[in-house]
Amino acid sequence: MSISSLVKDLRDKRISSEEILDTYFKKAYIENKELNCFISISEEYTRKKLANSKIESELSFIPGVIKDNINVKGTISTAGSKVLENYRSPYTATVVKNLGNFALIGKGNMDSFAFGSSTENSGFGVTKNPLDKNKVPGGSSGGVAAAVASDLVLFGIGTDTGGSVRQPAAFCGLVGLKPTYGLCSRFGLIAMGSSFDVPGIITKNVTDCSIVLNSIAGFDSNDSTSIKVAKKDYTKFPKLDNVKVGVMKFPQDGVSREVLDSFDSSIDTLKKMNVELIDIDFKYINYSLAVYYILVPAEISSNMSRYDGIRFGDHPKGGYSSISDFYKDARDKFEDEVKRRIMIGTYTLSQGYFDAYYNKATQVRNLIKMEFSDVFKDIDFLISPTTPTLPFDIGKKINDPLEMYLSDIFTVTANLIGYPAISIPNKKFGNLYSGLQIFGRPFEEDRLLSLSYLIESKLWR
Amino acid sequence: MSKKISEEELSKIANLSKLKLDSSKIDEFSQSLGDILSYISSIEDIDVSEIDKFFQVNDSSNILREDEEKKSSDFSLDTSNFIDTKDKYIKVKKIL
Amino acid sequence: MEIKTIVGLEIHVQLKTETKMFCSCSAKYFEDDANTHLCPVCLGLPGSLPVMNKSAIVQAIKAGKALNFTINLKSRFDRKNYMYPDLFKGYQITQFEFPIDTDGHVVLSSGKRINIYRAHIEEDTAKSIHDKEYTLLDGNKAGVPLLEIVSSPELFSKEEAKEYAKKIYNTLRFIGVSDCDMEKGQMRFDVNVNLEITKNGNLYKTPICEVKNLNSFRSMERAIEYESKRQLDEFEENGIVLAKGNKTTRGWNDNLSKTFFQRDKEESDDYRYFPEPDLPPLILSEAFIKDAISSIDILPTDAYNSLINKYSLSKDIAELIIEERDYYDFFMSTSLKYKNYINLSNWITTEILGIIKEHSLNISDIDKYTLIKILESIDKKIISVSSGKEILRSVILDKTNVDILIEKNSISSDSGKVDSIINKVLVSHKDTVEKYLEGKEGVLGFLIGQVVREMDGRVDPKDVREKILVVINKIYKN
Repeated sequence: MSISSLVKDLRDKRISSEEILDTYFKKAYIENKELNCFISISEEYTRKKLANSKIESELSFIPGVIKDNINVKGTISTAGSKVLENYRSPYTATVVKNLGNFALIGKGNMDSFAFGSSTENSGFGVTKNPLDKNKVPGGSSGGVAAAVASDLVLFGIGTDTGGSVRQPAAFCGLVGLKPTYGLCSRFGLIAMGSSFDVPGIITKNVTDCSIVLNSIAGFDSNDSTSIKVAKKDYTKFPKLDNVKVGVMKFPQDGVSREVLDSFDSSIDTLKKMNVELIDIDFKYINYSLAVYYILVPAEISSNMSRYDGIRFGDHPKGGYSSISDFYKDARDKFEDEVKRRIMIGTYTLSQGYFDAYYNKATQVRNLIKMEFSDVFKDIDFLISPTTPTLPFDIGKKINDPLEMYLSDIFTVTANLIGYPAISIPNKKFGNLYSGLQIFGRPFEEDRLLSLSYLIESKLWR
Repeated sequence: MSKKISEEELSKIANLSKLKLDSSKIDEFSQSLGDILSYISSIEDIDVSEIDKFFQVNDSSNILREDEEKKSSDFSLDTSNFIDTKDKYIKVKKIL
Repeated sequence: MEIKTIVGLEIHVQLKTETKMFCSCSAKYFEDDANTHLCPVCLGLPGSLPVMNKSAIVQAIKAGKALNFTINLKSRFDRKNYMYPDLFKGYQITQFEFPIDTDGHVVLSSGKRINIYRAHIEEDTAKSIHDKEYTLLDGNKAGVPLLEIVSSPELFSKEEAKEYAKKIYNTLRFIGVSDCDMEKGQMRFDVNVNLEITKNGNLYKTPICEVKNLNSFRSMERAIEYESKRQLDEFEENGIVLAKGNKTTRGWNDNLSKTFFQRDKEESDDYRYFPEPDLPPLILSEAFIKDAISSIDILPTDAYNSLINKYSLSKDIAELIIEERDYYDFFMSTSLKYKNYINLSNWITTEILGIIKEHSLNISDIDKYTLIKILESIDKKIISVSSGKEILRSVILDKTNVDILIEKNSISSDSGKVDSIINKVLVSHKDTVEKYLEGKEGVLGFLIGQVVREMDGRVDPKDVREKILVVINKIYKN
């Protein structure tokens, strides 16, 4: 089932909005027991919200999942953390408002505060990959991807700070789009790395992704980093002529045989499409992950300071001899990965280290951005694998944070420089897929989706 | 190549971060922080002498808001999220 | 032994705006119920984002112009990270590395120039009320825009510090950048004090101490005075001199007139500043700055110069008139109709200011016609100066009609009546006249008073005096 086919059924009255809600909520309760893809199921909220609703857009009554770090007034928004276990958000994120009267089925499970790549860091238990239940679904938007992959919803909104939408999309055989930084509002997204975070889309196919992007894209006066750009209809894939696609060269150690193999086959597919391919050997891209793991924790360490146990979230109860003890108790429910990243950020920002880490990383970030904009003078798109491996077993990397971080090696660069990037299913290995990542020029999501659509229809699936 | 950070250093960072350190976790954190810090130190060798320290992800310019009071139609204060209240104040047990 | 007090001042003023610095909540919270001016942004809820207030930027530019700053085309907001219950986000959005205004100065009356390092925009914290058992927090003040103005340590006495602070106060009020109402906490001082002691030819500097959160000129002066003494005592006792890391922070107890130890500076001050990722750099166009500056119609220094040069007022009077924008406006609008500027300014600075200060009134509430009418009537000898003053008081305080009062007090044109009353008074107070003739000139006032009373005040005492003298000289002094 895709968005467009359900929309058609709904308009032709082959199914009623009531029936959609009944069917999808019923499925959600059953499947969630096994998959644990929703932290909460939003039946009460959604039935109330849609009680007197009419069809007003492509997404009216279409079942969707929203990652639990995106505020929806009237639901619990935990961000995957015990710290916000019972937090009722008093306002709604702009992207959710933009979605209109869609049917929110549930809030997606995730690594706590989006810190992770497997959804194993959730305060509410791991989500299983519907394609192979011994594997992780990826992360941090793992719950969103699992819900889409198992047909519990037709689309999902996640957040992507270093690959958190593209990597789980790849792990679950789906399309995952990270739009250009500034195209979609961050207002209401619980911040991780503010200069990296964007809302992203996970769907079954490229067309559905375009439909969802049509509704969430747009300038928001509540987000100072959002940008005014001319409104586009992303479902109208523009014709692409004389397309030049860059092929990223990358060190092959740590990249699995399956991934290398499928990347080669996608290159073959592109060749058959008469696309001009150009090998690109970046000078600084190998530093992306290091830069990312300096700057993001720095921003995290500051963004997490508001969790002080006073105005919302979990409140400490005992008596305290000092303010420091109060805070330490209030923040003790932070999951270990959250604590780890706060401490890394605190360290790199602290006196004596700021220049060597933060400033230097910022300068390298500039270098990488400059290099990309140079390279993109000669190419229209750039391809790479989405992830270095296929989905790994639950529990395999959880005790080695650095190893886990390395699974973001291909995805973080797009966030460093704000470019749009998409992951589409590439090649099937048993039940699992590898993902192909395509970068586009900033604010040219229409062309990026157009190329993705072409490849999608040509690729072996 | 990577080395653990010392317990003393770890506790200093935890303190500044306002985080409690469970004694059973000290070893693990010292190791993982050490690993990560040595990994991210790989940028040390890059020459950035000519590169700007000002960075902007995109070219958003300052959005200046008109100075007009607006009540958010969507937002309603939920004081049940507060730790405790007295009259309309947020009440925190003496912690200073 | 020679002792020099060195003072640097950090002044926080609340910028005059309708709304908070980064959200659309009202910035006018004084005496409102606690936590009624809140939204996700100023409450620091997860997922909220700041958006800059245009007026606050304009106000900072105006302040920059008035205090002779360089206004930077490119500045930036940073996060100052520290956790404290009154700081909801756990960081304060401020300008650290690249403030909007740099390198300003003011000139004191002595001619001494005081350099001002910088002025930067930041957000205020919530208000906390400490009780024995608990702390109460009110977020209405959280996120209100502040300008922090940081002087260089060039103030060498409490008097200089006060004059400097007063100058900032007057200037910012004059151009409407801030009301600087200290009772409402709209202007606060942090003073950095230390001593330079020359003893036996050696120069010693005592450790710098910062006294935070002083909310009146008086407490600022007293804190400086107290610190100078305390630091001298301490130096004589232990001889400790300024060194890296031995700066301390102290608070001020107004009741005891004492500073008290709060903390060692290095203890917790690792603020981990970094650029605020939620806000793009603040890039101002020349046109924007020009527009902002042009909203200042006149700077206090220009106003002062014009009062002296164009209106020929004395320096003292001009100083009094530019003390408040309202005074200046009152003078300017009345001077359109009444051209004896010196007389006008004297009446404004003595009579009008006297009355409004005594009764806590606003000069803007005073009807300009009243003053002009009274002054014209005096000039035309319709009323006496003293009745003019009384009429002014009565019109302002009792809301009586100025025209009726002038009519009632107008000097009688019936000079025959005045002459006969003078004769009557001189006859019935013959003994007083005798005293005058014996050389006790002081008694003349009594006689004049009697005549004025008999005339119900409708006579100019100066005229009466002249006439009495004529009569006495003619009849009694032979």
